[in-house]
Amino acid sequence: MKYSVIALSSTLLVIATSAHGGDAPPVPPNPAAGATAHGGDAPPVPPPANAGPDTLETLKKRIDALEKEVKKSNENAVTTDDVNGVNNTLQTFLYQYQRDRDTGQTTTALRQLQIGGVVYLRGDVESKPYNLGNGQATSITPTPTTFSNSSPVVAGRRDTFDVYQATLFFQGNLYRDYGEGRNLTFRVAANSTPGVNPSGDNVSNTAPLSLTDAYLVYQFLPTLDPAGDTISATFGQQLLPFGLEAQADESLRPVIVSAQFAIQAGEVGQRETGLILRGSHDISFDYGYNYGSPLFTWALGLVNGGGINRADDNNYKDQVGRFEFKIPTDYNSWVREVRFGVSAYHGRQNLTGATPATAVVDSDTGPAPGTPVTVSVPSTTYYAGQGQKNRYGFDVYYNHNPFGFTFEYIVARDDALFNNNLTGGNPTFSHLVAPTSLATAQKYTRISNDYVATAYYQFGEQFLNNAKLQGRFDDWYPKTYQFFFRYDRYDNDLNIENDTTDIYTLGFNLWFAQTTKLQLNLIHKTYHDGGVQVANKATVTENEALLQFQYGF
Amino acid sequence: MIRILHLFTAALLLASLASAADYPTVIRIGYPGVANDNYSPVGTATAGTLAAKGILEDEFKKEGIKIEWTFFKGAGPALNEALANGLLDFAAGLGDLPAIVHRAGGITTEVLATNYRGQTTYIVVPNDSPAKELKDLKGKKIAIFKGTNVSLSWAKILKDQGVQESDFRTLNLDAGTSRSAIATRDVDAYVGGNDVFQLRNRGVGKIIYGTPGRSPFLGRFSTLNVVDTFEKKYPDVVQRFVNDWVKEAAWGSKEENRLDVFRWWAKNGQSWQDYKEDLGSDTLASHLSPLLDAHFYSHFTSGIKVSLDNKLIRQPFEVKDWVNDTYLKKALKEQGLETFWSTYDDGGKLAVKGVVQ
Repeated sequence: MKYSVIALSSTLLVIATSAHGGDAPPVPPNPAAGATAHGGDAPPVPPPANAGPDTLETLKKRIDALEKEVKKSNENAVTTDDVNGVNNTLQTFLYQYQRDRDTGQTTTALRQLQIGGVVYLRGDVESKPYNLGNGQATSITPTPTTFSNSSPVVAGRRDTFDVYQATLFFQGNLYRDYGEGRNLTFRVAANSTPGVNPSGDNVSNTAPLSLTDAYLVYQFLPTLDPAGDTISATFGQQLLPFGLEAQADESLRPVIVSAQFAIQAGEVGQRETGLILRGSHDISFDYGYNYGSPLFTWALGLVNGGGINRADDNNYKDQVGRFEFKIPTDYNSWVREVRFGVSAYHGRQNLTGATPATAVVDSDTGPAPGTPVTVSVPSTTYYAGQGQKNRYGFDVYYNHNPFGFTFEYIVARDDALFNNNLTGGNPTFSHLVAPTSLATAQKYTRISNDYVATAYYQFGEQFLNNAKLQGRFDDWYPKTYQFFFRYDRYDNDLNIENDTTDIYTLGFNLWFAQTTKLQLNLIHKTYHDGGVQVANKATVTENEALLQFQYGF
Repeated sequence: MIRILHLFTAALLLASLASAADYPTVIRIGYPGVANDNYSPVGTATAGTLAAKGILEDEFKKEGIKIEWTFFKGAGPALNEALANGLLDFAAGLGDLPAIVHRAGGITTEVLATNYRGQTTYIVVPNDSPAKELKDLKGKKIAIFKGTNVSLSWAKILKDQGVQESDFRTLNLDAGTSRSAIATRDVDAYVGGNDVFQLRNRGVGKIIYGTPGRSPFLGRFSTLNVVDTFEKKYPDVVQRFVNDWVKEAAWGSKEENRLDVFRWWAKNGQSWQDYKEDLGSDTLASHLSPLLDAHFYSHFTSGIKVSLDNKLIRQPFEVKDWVNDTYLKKALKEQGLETFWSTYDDGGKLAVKGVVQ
């Protein structure tokens, strides 16, 4: 019995020592060694069993103490399972790290800087040939009555490939307010448009990048909670909060070619420099779908009115405003995303004209003194005050996947000068003739309008806010198919009858990668009386097929 | 002879059409979450191991049916959005609140089985916070991922602790952002699952509240749901799906597989040790039971009421109209598992002891 107790005691000592690490030296059966192995907190170890015959009770106590210590040690001992667990976590980390390295997910830039861009590659086929320069008839006209002697020559072109536009942008946080979300963000973007060369379609366009967006945005109210109201200020060059299409970034528009009002009426379809406040209020938030729906949003701002990348040309700051009402609903409602909006732009433009160049006889100049020669006096530009540049719009938006419908009505009022000295002819067209002097100049208000209606049918994940954020090992390709039809009717001058331009577009968009889409637009254009292109011409029609790859990076 | 050939061809065509009608070309399954890296498609519980092991892929390989798992970074709300837009056939592991919300909103799914029950909820505060209990956080900023089943548990915790949501400034932040906000002390507390352990382990947070050891009323449920049109069109496919579900739940419920289960779950980046700590002495079977018992019914009935009281839904509905347990019953019977799991009463207490503990 005594030997058994002694053997157990020794075994327990060894176990207890082992539990504290394999590096500990073997423990000799003496009190000093026990104290050393277990550190200062270990209970004092009684003398060994062979110290004397009166130690049986002492040994029992010692065994009890050792048993307790072993038990305590085992409670905190690292097991094989724990090691496996650490190994598992380490393997997971290594996998994640490697994948982040492989897929470039590791962000090293400051302030969450994002760099990206969009490139537009086009192929275009038109039913009528396009001609330009050196006596070639210009396009659109049914009979070649307008000629140009400018060079270079474009003769009989019906189809072409274009790099229509390439954009590059940088955006991110300048100041991130982690506590409230009152962030200061920025965006700067530039584009190159070799496909839109104003000096001639076949002139080598080596123009550098042109600035498009350059603005700061500050959130006045906390934005961490998506159910909260928002008020923000945007300062710099930016899209105008007018209507639907004008304030949609180019990469988000379903139709390749913008609506006519955005191109023809100017201003609302281009960027301006100024300060614009925006807000959204009374947000009903459906947490089950992470879907917020503000009852109304608004925007109010002052801008130069001079156009993109241009300084103001007068001291009047143009005003722009928009109010939008949205039916408050849960996500799974048929009236989800029904919005009604009104927009207004109130501006002024300089009224200017030019006197024609004239020839005069100047006897004081010439090859020999006193020899009269004829010299040319160049035309001069005169200023005739300011005129209005106002636009008003109404729009309806409905987008309940897979169906969508939008409608916009725009009316624009522009003052211009015309020659009030004209007599005879059709008075309706007299205002189209430019005055030759300030004395003959008279102000004329041209009123134009545009109706744009678009219907969509689409299926796929591209238009879902949350569902497209998915866990994937590599990239994810949310294939989405969208069919649409748009009717766009533009009247350049309501005082002239039957001068509208109607454009019917049947389109198909295919998103075959997250940021890349293929767009096909079949366009039928009808120019009544030449429409905005050429006055006094018979109605002509033109068909066009436009194919565009739009890829973002 | 030619006529016979034509008849044979027509018969083949009809047979192939009939076959195509019996099976879908793809089965689309949504899971409400991704791994801790906010990217990798990994899940936990029965749905998680079913996906990770490729069990359904094997099951339907013979018919050439593609299995398409989608792991939503936006959790339950994102899965609901996909359901509402007809992009899913099954929701595997959908939390109680998102499931209640989509059903109350008119999306007609059927509950086929339970995925996980008694999921824990914790409240973590920055390490140097003086708060020791929930009441100490009155007037403070609390981060919570609203719309997930944590927010239903949160509503119940408020009731249990005798406080109201208006006593706090709650911010709707996803789990990853909430953890970051605790580390940067931009919020005063975060209500989450066992992912809060990593904050404590890193020494940046301390846990002041946890549901383990408290009323079963506070635990979270997740379920397996099928879109009713799919269920009506492909009942055989649904049965085979549920058969695999039950088989996998039975595997996960056996204690001898405990470490293997944690190994599969830990692929989401959550520490193995966290699962051990979170489950504590609970048996796996008590959490992975697929049964639709009295506890399931009482949990969802009270969940509907709490959701209504907190204006998370506008219309109540009956749980019994939502549940379709025919597939589960058949699977249990065929696999001899009718008495395998314990059943719990409407208070969450043990009612009938099962074979597996």
